[in-house]
Amino acid sequence: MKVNFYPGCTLKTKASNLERTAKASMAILGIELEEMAEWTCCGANFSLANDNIMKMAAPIRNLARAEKVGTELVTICSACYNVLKRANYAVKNDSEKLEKLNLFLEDGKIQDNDDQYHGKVNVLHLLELIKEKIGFDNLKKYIKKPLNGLKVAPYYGCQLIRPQKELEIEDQEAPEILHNLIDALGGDAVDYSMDTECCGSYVEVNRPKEVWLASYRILRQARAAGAKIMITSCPLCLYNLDKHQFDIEKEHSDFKPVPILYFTQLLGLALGLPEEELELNGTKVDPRPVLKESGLL
Amino acid sequence: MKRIGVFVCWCGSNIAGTVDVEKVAEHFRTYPGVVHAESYQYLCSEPGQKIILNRIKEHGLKGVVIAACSPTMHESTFRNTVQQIGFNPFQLEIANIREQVSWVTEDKDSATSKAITSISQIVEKLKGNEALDPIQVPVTKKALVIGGGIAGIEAALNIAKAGYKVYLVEKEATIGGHMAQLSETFPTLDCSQCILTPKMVEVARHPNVELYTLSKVTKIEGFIGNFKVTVHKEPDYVKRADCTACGDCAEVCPVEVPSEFNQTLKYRKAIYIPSPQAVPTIYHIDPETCLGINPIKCNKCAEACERKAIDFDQQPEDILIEVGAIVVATGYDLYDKELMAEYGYGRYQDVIDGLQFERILSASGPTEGKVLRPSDGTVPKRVVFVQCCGSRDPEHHKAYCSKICCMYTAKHALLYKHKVHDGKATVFYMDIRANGKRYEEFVQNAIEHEHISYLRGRVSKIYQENDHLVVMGADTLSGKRVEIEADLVVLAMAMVPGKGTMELAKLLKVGYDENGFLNEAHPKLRPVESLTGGVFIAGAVQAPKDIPETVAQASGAASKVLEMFGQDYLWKEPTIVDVDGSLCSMCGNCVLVCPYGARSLNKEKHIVEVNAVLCESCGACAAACPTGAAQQRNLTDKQIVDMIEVALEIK
Repeated sequence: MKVNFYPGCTLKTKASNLERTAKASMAILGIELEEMAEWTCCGANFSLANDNIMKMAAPIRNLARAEKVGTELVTICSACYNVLKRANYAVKNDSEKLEKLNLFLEDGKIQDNDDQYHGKVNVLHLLELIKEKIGFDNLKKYIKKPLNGLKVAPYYGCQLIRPQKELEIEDQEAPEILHNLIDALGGDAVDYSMDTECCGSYVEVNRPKEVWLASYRILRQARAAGAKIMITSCPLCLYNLDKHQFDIEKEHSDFKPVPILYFTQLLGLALGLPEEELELNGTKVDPRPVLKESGLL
Repeated sequence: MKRIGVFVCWCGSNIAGTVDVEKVAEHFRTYPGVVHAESYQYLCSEPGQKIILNRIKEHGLKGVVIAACSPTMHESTFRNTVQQIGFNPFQLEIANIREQVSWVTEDKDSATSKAITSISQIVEKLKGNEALDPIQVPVTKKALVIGGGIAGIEAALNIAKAGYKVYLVEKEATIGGHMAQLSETFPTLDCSQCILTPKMVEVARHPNVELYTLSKVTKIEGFIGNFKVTVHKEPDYVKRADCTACGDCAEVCPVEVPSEFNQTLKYRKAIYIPSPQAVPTIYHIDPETCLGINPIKCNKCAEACERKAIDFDQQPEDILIEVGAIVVATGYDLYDKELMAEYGYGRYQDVIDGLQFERILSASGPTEGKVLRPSDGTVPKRVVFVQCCGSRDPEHHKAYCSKICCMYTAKHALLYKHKVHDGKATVFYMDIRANGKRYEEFVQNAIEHEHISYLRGRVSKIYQENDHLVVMGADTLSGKRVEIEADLVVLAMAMVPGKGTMELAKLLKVGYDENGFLNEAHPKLRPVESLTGGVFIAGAVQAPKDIPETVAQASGAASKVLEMFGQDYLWKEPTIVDVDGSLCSMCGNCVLVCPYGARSLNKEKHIVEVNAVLCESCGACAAACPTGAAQQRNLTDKQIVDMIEVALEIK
């Protein structure tokens, strides 16, 4: 089965291992993530300005192009998912907005491109695709290397689940989808109270100390709950949570770093992808010792 | 042609300020069929009413149009007036030129012209009016009270004491409702049980009260003054007359389940009494948790009972009762805490709700009144109270204010400080709404003398850290984020209508609002009546309210019932929808659309039968009738067409 896939910029640069592990894992599950033609940046941030119409041109242009292929568009990066889905929600519930955006697209068209969006695309996160098209119970059949009860902290962050009303993927205060994935892979999803707390996001740029504190709080809670490793779907969260761990360790003697992976890396591991394809060397906190200790490498 | 008089009211400047009333009167002096027209400052006043009576006599009027305020305001006033001189009240009609004309514009010319149009329509309607007599309905002078909390108890007692029979139906095993669970009540701190228990006993013992516990209303037929109600009663599995509530049975019962009365903070057995003060004071078996209502599986309780009161063979019963009036007093529940996952209810044992804290504070509660937290039974030294949980949050939860939480949170914090002197109590609030007699003083006392710290702001998250909780929130006065450590957190959850309210409302054909609270007939002037005749409402089923207000409303509802029972017959508007048998094709459309069950197809007699008492004159059937056989009295198709034509100036 082929699905129309929107990678987004980060998956082509910093988080290229997220794309590759996703594609390789999904191939094992019989799903080909086919990169959509002529995609552009999603806009990176969903604008909360009252008049946000210009900011929605980028995501809607992408949706217009996706609509030519089909009614489904799969994405993985939490930020892309958030922007595309919220823009989609906005125009699906406001025909005037859609009309205006189509006028913009018409105005700014390049060559003979006739980008016009009709509100027919359904934006899906890869996690939703796995849940709906394969099913977590069914997923177990494909597992070659069960995680042996490895204690994994699911980290949702904000953009994957909020706002619930628009994304409708999960209960934003008590999400379960990553928990379910971990359990299906044979791991043990740990419950901790910070799985939906913000990682600090772009505050990293001007006040990195705030991101430290946020990371410390999240990671410490995950550790306290017994987590050996953490997974996420968001490149920015991964970057923030990984980056400061050794500094935190210096300040707080009781802190032990927690390696953090993309969920697709853990999925690939359980599905039996070879170690080199899992690209486990992208983070400061090396996950390999933990995985080796658990007999998974 | 009918001799019609038109009277235009100034309503002081309410109408005259925008409508040129004299010009309007002048217009109708030459209007076909109108023999007299005048304007007057206040037609509803004594002299105003006299003018109308005099003109009827002077001009031999056969129809009267009052152009004034809405008919819901004064239609009955004027109709009663003209009736005094033998004028048929259904030959008087109101043209609303206040709410629908003068109050909606400042443009004098257009207001005047619209007033003329509105009055013309009513004149045309009146030309087709017939003299009608009100419909007489007999009254069964017995009442049904649904719900045995403080509202139902109060209403039942009021009616019973006036000498009328009352059936009191309660779905739980005991009456008393939530009030029986409370520790002490604000603002006087008298013990809830002490003031409620005597009433519970009194109502159950009153010779005019028949009490059905473990019972639900499952069917309601009939109409005002004449309801036929089916009450489904689950068995106690214990013979009431023989049970002495000694408790020997519960001692040997092997089943333990969380106690509903103690809000799951304690266990009860499968054979149990909800509380020592329960009324009726008997044990009963919960068939859901009992090993099987089967003496072969487990017969321990029956063996232990010296009086042989256990009876596994009791069966559910359907009891049919006939009543003239119904009081709905089914109360409230707390908003589902699990819908606020960020507060960790269900995840952390020491996050509890207000009712649970009431049980902890109560001398008869799971901790015998000692403040101990659920997780480890220690005394919590830091307690955080969070107000407005689920209330005043239109985006995520309930938009309304639950009204009692400011008061009971202050009471909780104060009682906590009375019991744990070195404890620290912190209250998160949005603003303090303490508007009742001695309420504000109560809260101020809690703040100033009990040193309870009030922190204005919202809580975003509660989480566990080692052996305590951390409450994350915002202090909106200092503008800072705060994190407060707590050993126990008490959530003041929003009040919502009791479970099953909506199903009951549908049975009763009573309206409810977007939150499921029952609708009163008029928010100000008819607060204890529903729009369905003979059905009254009392207590928190109508909106969140505290005990004094609930009791007042229950007494109000009872007095409305007594007002009904003071009459041998009720009078009902006769403007029902008849059927012209010669035009009726027996299609059954009118029967289908009737929301009141007033119409039925009699295939043998080949007619549609109309129950004049059930018909609420809504006109749905008349609109649905394809042949024009169904015509509403004094609002026939011809009258409607005449009104439309005059409004469109094509007549």
